[in-house]
Amino acid sequence: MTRFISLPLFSIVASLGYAVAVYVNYPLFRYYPLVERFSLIDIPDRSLGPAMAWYGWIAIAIIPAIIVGVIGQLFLPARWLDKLARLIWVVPFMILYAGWVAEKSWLLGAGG
Amino acid sequence: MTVFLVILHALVSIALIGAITHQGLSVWRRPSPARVFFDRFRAVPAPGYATPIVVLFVTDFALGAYVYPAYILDVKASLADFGFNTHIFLFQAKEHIAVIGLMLLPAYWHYWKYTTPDKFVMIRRYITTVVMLAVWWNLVIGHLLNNVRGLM
Repeated sequence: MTRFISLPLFSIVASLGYAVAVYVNYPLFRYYPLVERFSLIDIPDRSLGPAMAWYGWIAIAIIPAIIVGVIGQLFLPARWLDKLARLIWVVPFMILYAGWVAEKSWLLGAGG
Repeated sequence: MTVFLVILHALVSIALIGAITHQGLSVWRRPSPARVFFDRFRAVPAPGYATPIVVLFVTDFALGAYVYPAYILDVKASLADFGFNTHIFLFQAKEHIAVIGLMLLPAYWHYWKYTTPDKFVMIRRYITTVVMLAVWWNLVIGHLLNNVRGLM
């Protein structure tokens, strides 16, 4: 499998994609569990119940990660990939920061 | 069915936390005779844990993702009604921390399976430790939330 895709690069880009998607609240789709319905757009209808963006954040992060991972594996020299892989250190911090921005209102109130 | 899946989710988490803790502590250990319990706990062949950990993590994540809508409708709504916003925040953090583990898993797999033990030692230690901390957080917070307001 690693002949076709750089797994460390996939991890870094997927994490970056997830962090950005959470930060700007841009999921690929939303899921409305009350009516068991998926939607590509945010439907402003309270009768549908709460919308879940989590699956959509993960999905939108994986698409560029696959593309970049494959391109990187096929076209970048191994030593470049090894250097890029060092960026794996920032993965948890990116996601934690984006998560904090998205969820801090639960702790700080609506004004947070 | 949901309760069964939540219990299964917890049981898989327990297996996962055992495996990742063995491996996560062993990667920081220097080779030496294991005399006390803590050393014997860490003196395990860490590479052999990689495949079970990936399988357990993906299974656990999938189970959690499957029961998540029930949590949103049943538990989160009740917690919000009672003003338990700190608990909601902790669970929302669980959601993102689980993704940290999931996103790191391909790199984790790469550094355990496709590199020699003498290379990328610090990256392997770092990824394994982060995944271990993510698993611990998620199990503890999931257990806490289940005690406060479990799924029926």
